[in-house]
Amino acid sequence: MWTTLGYLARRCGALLLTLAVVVVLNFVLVRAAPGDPVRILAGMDQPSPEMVEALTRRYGLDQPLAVQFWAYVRSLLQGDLGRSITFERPVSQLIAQTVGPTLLLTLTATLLAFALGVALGTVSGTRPRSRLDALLSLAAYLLYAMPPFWLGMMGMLVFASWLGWLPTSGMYDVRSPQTGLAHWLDVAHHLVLPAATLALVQMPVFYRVTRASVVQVLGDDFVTTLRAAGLRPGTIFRRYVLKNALLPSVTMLGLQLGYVLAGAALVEVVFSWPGMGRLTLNAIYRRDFPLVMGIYLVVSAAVAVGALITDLVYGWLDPRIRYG
Amino acid sequence: MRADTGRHRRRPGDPGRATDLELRTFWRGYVESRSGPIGLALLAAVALVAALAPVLAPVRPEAFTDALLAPPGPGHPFGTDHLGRDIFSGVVYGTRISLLLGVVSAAISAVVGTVVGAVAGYAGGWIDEILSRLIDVFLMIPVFFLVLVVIMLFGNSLPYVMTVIGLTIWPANARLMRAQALSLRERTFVRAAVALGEAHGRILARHIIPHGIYPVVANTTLQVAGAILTEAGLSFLGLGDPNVVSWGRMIYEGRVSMPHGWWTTLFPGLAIVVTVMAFYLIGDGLNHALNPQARERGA
Amino acid sequence: MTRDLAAPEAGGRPPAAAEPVLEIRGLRVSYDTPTGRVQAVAGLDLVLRPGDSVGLVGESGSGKSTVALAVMGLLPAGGRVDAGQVRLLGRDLTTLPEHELRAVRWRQAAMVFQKAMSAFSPVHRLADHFVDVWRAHRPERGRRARSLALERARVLLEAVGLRPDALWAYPHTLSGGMLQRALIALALVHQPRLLILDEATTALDVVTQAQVLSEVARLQREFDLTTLVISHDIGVVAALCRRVAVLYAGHLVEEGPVQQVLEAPRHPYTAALVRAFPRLRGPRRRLESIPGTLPDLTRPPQGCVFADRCPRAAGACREGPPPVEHSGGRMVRCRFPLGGDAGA
Repeated sequence: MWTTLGYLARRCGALLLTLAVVVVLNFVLVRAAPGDPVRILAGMDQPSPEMVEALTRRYGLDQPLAVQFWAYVRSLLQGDLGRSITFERPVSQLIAQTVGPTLLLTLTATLLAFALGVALGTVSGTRPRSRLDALLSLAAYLLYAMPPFWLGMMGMLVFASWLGWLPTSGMYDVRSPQTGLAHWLDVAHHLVLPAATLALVQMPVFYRVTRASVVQVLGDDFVTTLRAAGLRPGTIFRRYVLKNALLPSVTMLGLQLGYVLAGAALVEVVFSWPGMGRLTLNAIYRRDFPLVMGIYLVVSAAVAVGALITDLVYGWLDPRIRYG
Repeated sequence: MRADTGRHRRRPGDPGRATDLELRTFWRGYVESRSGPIGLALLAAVALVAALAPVLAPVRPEAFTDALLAPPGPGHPFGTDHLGRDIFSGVVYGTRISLLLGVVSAAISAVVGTVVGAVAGYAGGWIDEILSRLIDVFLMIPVFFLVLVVIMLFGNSLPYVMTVIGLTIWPANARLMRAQALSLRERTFVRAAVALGEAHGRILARHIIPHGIYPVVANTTLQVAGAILTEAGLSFLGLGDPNVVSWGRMIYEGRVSMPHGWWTTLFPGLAIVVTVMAFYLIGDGLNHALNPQARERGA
Repeated sequence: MTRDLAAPEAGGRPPAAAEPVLEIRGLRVSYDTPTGRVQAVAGLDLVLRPGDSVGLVGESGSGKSTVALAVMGLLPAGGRVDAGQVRLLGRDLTTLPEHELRAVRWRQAAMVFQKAMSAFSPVHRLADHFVDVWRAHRPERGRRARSLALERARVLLEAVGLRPDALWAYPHTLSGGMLQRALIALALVHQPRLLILDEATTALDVVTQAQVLSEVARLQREFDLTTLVISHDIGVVAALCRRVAVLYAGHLVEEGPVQQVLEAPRHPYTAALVRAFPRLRGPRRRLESIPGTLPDLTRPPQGCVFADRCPRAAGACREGPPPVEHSGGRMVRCRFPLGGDAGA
């Protein structure tokens, strides 16, 4: 049990360190960038004197750096991520509004990618060097080589514009909004293309890891023991090989988070999905630095926390760590 | 038992060149992977296009013509965009940008990662502790968003983009190199060098790095692919270099013409896929050639 | 492993003239390798009667493990039984299809492998292994099967000297010696007629090895097992077996009662093997090894396979295969066998 606590403590420590580095980085980057911090934070080249005054006061830009940093950290701990210039609302509020759709898209896509990748990876891993394996591997490489936004646009072209089966944009039909179950079905209908795009681009990672893991586990000694004991290959595979082989894929879930979110941002832009990705695009377009940096902070924190959770889940699943 | 002289040292002072047998074994492994040679062929084709761009492209990619949003046809094999720019020329010249960007970013990452990783693994102790923490932290930071922020703040010209990408993806190489350095540190020939009083810098440069660099090389090929995809994503969000014709930027600018002008998006995207695939396949071949155990089991 | 060769701990009743448990006749096994086809076992004849304990000794690469794998039908990809029969309780295993072999495995013949540390699934408890091995050959299902299996597992674990609560442990929490014993217990789940120990103690330290060996000796007596002990360590064979068969490069070169063969070897290879092992008592001597290496088994020689390393070899030895001589319950395959004691 102590090893589990030790493991937990170490992972939490790493998380805190990462968050600290991200915060410091955020702080340093703004002040190290070319140009006046005031202008950066104002989002324009010629801020009015009142604006300069307000911003200086708010961010303490006339104070020594240490004081500024401390004020920054304090405000962060209070949940204050700054104020968006374009929307004239707290950044945290904007993020809170858009995080839901992003989560919906990201989680759906990741689950799909995991399921598909693991299934196909198992198929390939049990028949390495076969034609099917070569085909699947090639397909995986191809999908991984596609920019998510391009795949989305092509999908939109074929399935929405030409075939008309699926909607082109948005999360639901704004022209005829529904309620209750109909609403969620509508959302699901709009979710198909973006989620499928994101899932297809993520799937190769799980595929490759699972395939390698299956190949390796099939060569492990305990498989020989069980075979010698007269167990049927199907039984051995289902009850023993799978559990051993799937563990690395679980780790991948955590490691992929950063890339999934990046892909989600791009896909959201393509499909006008009302999530954080589209918010990011708007912020970039209007040079809304407080908003961009707030998003960056939240995303970094999410990735770090996600990695921690995945590590913990893995530590719980793998008896070697749990009872190490 | 033959003394552990570092596998391929021939003379004292010789930094160590691979023997003929090793090169042949490596090449055989690379060819056996089947993906390796295909990747190499694809890359050769792309590089050829890049080199012969002025000859292959009918016009300069930035040049406006009168044929606005013309579909693929004679004179414009890939069509034109809403400002009349020839897509084919854009794709052809884009190879130069992509290759340049990919290779430079990955090179920066390789150099920084190798040095940091080698120092960390070789030095050990508190140096290793600090550097390892640094590597772990940077591995957890989402690359795309960090690059996004930095480019917004610092500028989006191509050299900036290349440098920033390179400076954010090096931790993966550092980790690989560190693992190599850790094991190489215990090898007899390295310990002999230390005992003889060779300077640490020399040991790193002549013994540790040359012998441990192989996984980094394989990983770096994959990073070229990653850099190209990252730049494409940034350009698609409007953060790329506006003065440069990159495939990502072409897709960004072609978005207004969708869905009617589908050719403005399709062809640049295909170019990305082909080029990225080339590097994936090469990386796969390298992994195959450098990892015999995985080969035997059919991985 | 040094052991005084006169140790009388080998188990088993004197072999009765009953139907043999294991009868190997003319077994030839070869493997596919990148450099060609390697002949791993060349014409092996071996008979185990009920209660027998036979040791199979040889260097690395002599083909001993191959014999075991061939008996169990577990040859890896590229391995093939080219000729011969392996009769287990009268049935020729080499002709059986896979699903029938599965029924035979573990029920009639069980094997204890060398690397106990990796012989169990790291993410499953020992209990899971016992339950699944039990259910593989029993008609019971569900909870009943599980409780029966666990009951049997507890009995067996105690028999090998482990605490019953080791059942609930994960493999990585147990030591090598404990895992080796657990593996032996697992092998006994279905009370097999034949137990094969393939280098079962090689991976253990000397002290643990001695403990496990005495456990196995005890089990041999208690359960009246017929055992085939495969080892490169003569001491292990001397401790557990009444008969020993010496294998060199896939050929059986000598066979006989263990004490006689080791104290008065007739084949030069056996003599050299015995000499190579340091003795705990007696005058100090130089450590001797056998010069040379195994021949290239992709192109087996015409004559005696040991000729190149044999101090007694003559021209005739290289021309044709050596004759087999049976006398007094012993067998030797040599043109110029030794007639006296070791060191002649």
